Amino acid sequence: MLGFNKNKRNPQDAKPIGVDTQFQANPTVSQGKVPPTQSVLEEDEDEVELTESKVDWNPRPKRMGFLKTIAPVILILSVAGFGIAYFMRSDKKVTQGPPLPPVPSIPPFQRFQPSIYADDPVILKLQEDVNVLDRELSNTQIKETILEPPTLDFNVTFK
Amino acid sequence: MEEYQKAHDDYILARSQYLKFLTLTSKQNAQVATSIMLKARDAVVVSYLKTLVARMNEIEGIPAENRQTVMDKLNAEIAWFEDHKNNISASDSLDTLTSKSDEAKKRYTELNILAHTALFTISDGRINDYQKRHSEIFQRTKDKFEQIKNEKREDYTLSDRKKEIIERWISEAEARAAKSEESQAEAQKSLNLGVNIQTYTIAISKLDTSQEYLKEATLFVKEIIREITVSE
Repeated sequence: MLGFNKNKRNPQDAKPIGVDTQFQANPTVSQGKVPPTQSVLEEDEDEVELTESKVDWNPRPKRMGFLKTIAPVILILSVAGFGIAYFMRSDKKVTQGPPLPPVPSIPPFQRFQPSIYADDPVILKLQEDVNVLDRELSNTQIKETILEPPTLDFNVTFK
Repeated sequence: MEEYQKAHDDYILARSQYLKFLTLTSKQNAQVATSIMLKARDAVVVSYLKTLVARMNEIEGIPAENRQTVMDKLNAEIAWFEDHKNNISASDSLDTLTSKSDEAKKRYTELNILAHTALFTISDGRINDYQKRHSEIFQRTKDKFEQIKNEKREDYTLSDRKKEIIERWISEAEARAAKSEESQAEAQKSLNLGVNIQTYTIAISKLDTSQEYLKEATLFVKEIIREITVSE
């Protein structure tokens, strides 16, 4: 039924096509009454032929019209999309500062096998001492900022 | 310090009232407020100097001779300011109080140099302490490595590759420790020109560099220990 041009139909002489049209042409069938006789069917066929010749049964022009409407819109949208993408990229190029330094990738975790010296008491003591020293070196501020001389008012005058 | 702040606020108020009204009562009030402020100010200085002495006693790396010299000077200043504080009286005239304040001002200006000398001595002592501890740990590490190198038992020997790595870390640690000492020497040298805020700041920045080198040297020692404790 798609593309059926209702506007060009003459309601008086044009009849619908196919089974549906037959039923509509003969309302008695659609209403479940007596089926049409052979002669009636023949007459109807003639009428259908006549009707088909009068109806403009061509869906292509409508499709073409639809495409003609949609195609420019798609074209405009795609051009706009490319344009925005291009400008955003060029903006980024302008605003970008110096290239970021390469970030070192985290090496994959490797489970090390402890050597025969891992439980050596001398090594364990060394490990403990060096860790304490490293912690102190990292957390201590050499400058004694809290021991700076206090600011006091020495300008006592009564003039 | 809070006591001094309150006394100072009272002094400012009494002084402005005296200068405005010039009455005997306002003069009396100004004398009392000024004497209290001067005493509180001397107390702050004494308290500050005592804190410096206490800190100098805490730091182990300060050479004994240096410690004694600086602490003697600090104790002499403490005595002076305590004596000065005891000589201030509410019955002193405003001119006398002004004169006594000027004495303290002169002394405090000179004290500023001594305070910065003491502060540098404390920071320098810290570096000495770290260097001494690092040197001792490093020596023990090297001794242990020598012992391992001389091992003949199969399970106790290290591969040539591991030995090479450890020897490289040893030389890196030695280089960093040497640079740390150089920076410390430069810091001491910059103060020899005379102690003031500028030279003190330069000297402290050199000590900071010295500390950074020592930190790196310690990391190399950690790396040596790690190499020893990890299997091939």
